[in-house]
Amino acid sequence: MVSNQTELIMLGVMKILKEKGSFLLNNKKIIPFLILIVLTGLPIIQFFGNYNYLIHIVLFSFLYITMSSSWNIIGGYGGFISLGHNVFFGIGAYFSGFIFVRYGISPFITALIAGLVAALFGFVVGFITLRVKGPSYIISSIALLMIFRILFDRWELIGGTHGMTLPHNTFPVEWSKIPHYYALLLLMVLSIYLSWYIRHSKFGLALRSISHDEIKSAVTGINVKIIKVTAYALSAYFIGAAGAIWGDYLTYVRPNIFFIILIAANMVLMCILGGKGTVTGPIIGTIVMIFFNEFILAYFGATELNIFFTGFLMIITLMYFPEGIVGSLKKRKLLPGFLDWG
Amino acid sequence: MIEFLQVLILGICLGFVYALMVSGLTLIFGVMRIVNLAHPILIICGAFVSYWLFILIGLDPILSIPIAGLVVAALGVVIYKLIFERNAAQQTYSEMTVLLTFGTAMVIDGILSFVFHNTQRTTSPSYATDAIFIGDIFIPLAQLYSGLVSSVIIVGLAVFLKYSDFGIAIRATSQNRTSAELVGVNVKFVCLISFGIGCALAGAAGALVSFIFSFFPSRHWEWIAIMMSLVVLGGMGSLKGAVIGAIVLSVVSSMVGAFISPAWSTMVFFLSLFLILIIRPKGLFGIQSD
Amino acid sequence: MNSLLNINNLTAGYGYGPDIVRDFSLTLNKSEVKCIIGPNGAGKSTLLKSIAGILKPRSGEILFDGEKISEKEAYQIMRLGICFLPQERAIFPNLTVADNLRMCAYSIKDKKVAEARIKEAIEMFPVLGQRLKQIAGTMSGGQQQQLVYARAFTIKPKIIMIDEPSLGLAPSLVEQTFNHITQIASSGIAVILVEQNAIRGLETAGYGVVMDLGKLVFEKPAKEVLQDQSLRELYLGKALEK
Repeated sequence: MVSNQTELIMLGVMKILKEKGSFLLNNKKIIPFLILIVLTGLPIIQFFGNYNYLIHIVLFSFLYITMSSSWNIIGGYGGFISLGHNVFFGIGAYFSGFIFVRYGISPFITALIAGLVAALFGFVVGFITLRVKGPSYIISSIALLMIFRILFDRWELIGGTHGMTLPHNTFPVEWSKIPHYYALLLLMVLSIYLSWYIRHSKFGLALRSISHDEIKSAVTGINVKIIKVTAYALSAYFIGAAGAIWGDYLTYVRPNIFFIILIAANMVLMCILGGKGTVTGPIIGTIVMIFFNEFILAYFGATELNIFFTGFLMIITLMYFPEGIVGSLKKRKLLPGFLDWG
Repeated sequence: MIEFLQVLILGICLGFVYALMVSGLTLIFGVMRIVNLAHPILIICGAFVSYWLFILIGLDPILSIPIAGLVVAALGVVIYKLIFERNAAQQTYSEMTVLLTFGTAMVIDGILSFVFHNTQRTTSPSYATDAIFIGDIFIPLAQLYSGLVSSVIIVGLAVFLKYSDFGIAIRATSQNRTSAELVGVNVKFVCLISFGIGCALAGAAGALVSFIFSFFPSRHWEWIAIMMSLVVLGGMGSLKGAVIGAIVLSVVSSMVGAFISPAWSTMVFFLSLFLILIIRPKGLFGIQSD
Repeated sequence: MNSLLNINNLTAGYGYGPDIVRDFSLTLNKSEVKCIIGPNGAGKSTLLKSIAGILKPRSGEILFDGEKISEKEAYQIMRLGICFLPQERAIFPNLTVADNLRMCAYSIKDKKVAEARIKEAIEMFPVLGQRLKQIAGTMSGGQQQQLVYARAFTIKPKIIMIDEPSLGLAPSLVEQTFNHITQIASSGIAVILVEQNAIRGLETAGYGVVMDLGKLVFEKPAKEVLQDQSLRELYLGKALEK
């Protein structure tokens, strides 16, 4: 008798859990909101011990989520695969870094302006390079990165190959990362919001139409040039701002840190792995890749293998699930609602 | 004047080497519309083959060309079978395929860096430090020999493509894949062999590169953009265009390096890429593009 | 089997799309000329592509001289003796005329035979002989057309399939084209013809095959189709002039 009752109760509880669970899983607002709350409060654990490494990993994730979400705007929605997109990362870092070193104004104040500088630059470059699509474009994006690398290597004013060293902040060690943590958290949220907004806007629709067929888009009255270039500039903004913060975080700004192709490759891979052209794709892709990277680091240590695994992952993704995790799940109608933001 | 001629001759010699480096890339693009970003790392593989043959058995790098070519060709065929064969079925190129080659480049880079580390290496055969004088003009033997050998290989390739049966099949497949299939060409086989030949050319170029440049695995990033700018000027898919583009840009770059500043010589390649984008916005690859 | 080509219940389509050719059956015997007519989207080109091996059939079977060819590659099917001239004129635009002819003869293993065939083709199309060194793509439309048909005479296949031979051609060239086809047929090669210009096509053919929505509607001797009033109105859009 008793066991029947407990069975009934258990079944009842499981049913309620399942319903609540699927409600939670499919409601688009609750889980992301909860995650945001957790992330905002995370630094509190520093009161309980030295979790510097964890804080570092989390804000590293913020950085790359910002970058891959931004890249998604021109790469995913727009269809222009830019393999040199971290030029903007470097531009932002150098802009704020230079002002900090010369005039003492902290990058936390100039970050949003650094983003603007990057975006303006993107606007100009976009006009030139977005004329062609496909492999031509990819190559030009790599060449752009190379040009910048060489230029900044030789530019003595900003340190050449040695770059610039930025002053440390004077917080005690447990709290020195915290300003960067919150700055990057903010940038991440903003860049995700931008991506979501574009995705559901008329601008985004025009952009996606352009990515499929420029000529047909043009004849429906879409100003193809302006939209392409604007998307490119928008994609540069948060990357530039993040670069400014990152420069301060590292306390040095050098060409061989900011203008290396591995950063662009990672940005692109994270977006594609997660699902380019979706809002949550870059987020998932970044998290998965960072986990994967940490795992590799823990087991193998060596950094040359970093490139190997990134490349390997890229090949597997492109061969077997080019729509990425989110894209593939969506295709099979298996995507939980809280990840389905479009 | 003397200096000008010297730089010109060196530029041309180097141009032929660049042309060889790029010939395989052009061939593969022409036949399969694959922009192989992994081509430079394959050149470096060839350089490593020559390097180790030189270190271990003292084999002259020029003599190691066939071996380097074969090894890299074999590697290329394996890569093609594993990764590219399924994509090669389409006639039009796609960004995804380019990204695949990019991933492949990273994988090979990672393996080479891990095994051999990123130390700069170069083979140093006896002539690497010798030079001859033609009148007052000083020409290092390394550049001269590599230029000559490159031009011989390129001419051989051109003759093969123009006159041999398989060569014509390759050219036909590049122009109209379906038509080639409909006259009885085994297009899948042609693609495979072309990929192999392209990689063999990369290997051969690598053997030469081993003694005129210092190489290390991560150098391929630099070469990707350089090589792309070479073919872009002449037109992807055209061997003649690639050779012309290579020689012209190499000469200009050498001139800039000698008379303006060595720091800017590589910029010539990247800037020309951009200039072409401005002047010919229809697409870098002209007739070949979509 | 006595027939040269047996198509049994063929179904074919593109990618993930719907079936274009549905349950189609046809036979072709030696020296027969069959003209397939029908509205746009009927699946005529798709049918030819499936036979040629460019498109893999989804179901059904194709037998050539008794041998199953549905699973074979296009170049293998070609070498067995089925030559396909698709709608997009299939010359190699950047090769010389001479090289184009060489490619036509690519499948002929015996060098001497290949050279003899090329000579024959040049005799039949003297215009080509005058332009051997010219880049094929720079020739006029009519001359390129001759190069395309020269392929038939070089290869001497058992079956030739031609998709819309008169498409995009000036009227005078249309005549020339149908003359070529008649010549080919009279040399013993079986012909499957897909033609929008239904009347001209039927005049050249022995049999008319009507295809609609991927299915075979009917097959009758071409003369019958041409002379039957109601058939003409239905499928050829034009009544017989009294």
